[in-house]
Amino acid sequence: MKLIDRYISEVADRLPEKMRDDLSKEIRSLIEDTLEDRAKASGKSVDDEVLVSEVLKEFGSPSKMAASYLPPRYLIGPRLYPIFWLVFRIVLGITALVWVITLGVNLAENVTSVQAGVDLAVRSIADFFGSAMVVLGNIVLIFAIIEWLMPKVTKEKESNWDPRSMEDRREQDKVSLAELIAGIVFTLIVMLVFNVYPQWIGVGFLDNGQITFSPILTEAFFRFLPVLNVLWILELVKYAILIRENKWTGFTRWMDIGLHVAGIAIAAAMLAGAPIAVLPANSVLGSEPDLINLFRYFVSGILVVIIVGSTVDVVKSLVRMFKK
Amino acid sequence: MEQQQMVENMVLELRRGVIVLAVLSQLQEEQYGYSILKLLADKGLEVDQGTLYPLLRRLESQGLLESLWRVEGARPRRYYVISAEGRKVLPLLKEEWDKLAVTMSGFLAK
Repeated sequence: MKLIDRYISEVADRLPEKMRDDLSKEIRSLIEDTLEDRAKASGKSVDDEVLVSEVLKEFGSPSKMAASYLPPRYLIGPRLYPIFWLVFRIVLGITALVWVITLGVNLAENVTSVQAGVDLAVRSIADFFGSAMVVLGNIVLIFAIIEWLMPKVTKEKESNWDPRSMEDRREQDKVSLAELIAGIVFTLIVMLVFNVYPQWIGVGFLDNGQITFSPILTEAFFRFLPVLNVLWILELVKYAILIRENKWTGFTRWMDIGLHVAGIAIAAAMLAGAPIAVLPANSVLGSEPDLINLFRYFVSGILVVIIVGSTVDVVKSLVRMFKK
Repeated sequence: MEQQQMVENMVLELRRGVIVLAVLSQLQEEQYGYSILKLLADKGLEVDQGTLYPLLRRLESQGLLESLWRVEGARPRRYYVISAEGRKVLPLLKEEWDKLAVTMSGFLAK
């Protein structure tokens, strides 16, 4: 095959089928015209391979040539890219966090020797890359679909855009998309762990030279789970409204305060009632009275921190609401 | 070197800005791709092949040019000529260009 034929074939391979024949014919004609002119000027033959190479080099590589006839195409365009990158990093971070926790739990529960630990860690790294690729691949796919669907919607929106529609948001009413997404992801993880994998919440300890991992949540905690679920679902609803409204409103502020107050009430009820977490009774830890007491204070301390933190949040929300 | 490259890119951008007007103005009569390139070059506007040829297709798809294949000698060639729509658009572009030229001359006058 001649050099020109090979070039045309390479370009054609990169073109959409409906324009392939016509454009191939046109590019061949353009190359031959250029060659004819150059051959006349230099006194060489139009079949001179050096001359043909020079002309083809001027036309550029087949991919460059084909691209010049096509509109710019991308999977995720510049408009969506910042939010894609944000979601990508958050999800990658969460996947890594889940992997670390899972690895820690598996190491504590199943590993009896250093060699077994190393083997598990190596297998786990391979699993992590597999999961990360699947998760991130799905994110790319979702954004690519949004990108594909977006032009129609945004064009219509932009042609009807009115500068007066821009709201004068007070600084304290602005929301951070990154924080909202992080909040949603965190809430979902919390719901998943407490409802599906509550056994992950526990303590690891050495028992007869072997690492053992035991869950610590009690029946008393699980009695609170339905009401906690309602609270978390309402939290997700709040995040969805904030994303939609793109600012804090009176309604979302009151909703936030209500959720915090409900959280404080639940934490107080947990504090006053039977212990929500105890050291496993059938373990070396569960037979040490000092340790049991220390753990009880630790759990109570966490609940007190939740109560104090939520109270501070309620006060901050009230100040923001009434701040001029 | 970096500065030279930067200036070359800017010159390229400037040329790209006027190339539509130049092509429409020179296609009152039928021309094929390479002859348009030569015509523009002979009149002082060097245009890259990779810029001109796709532009001809784009202007045709926008209805500003028409094209037809014609066999001359042993080879077929696609000839381009300004369309009726292109003839309506050209004076409007020319008017804009005249205004722009005056404005820019004013900006750049010493």
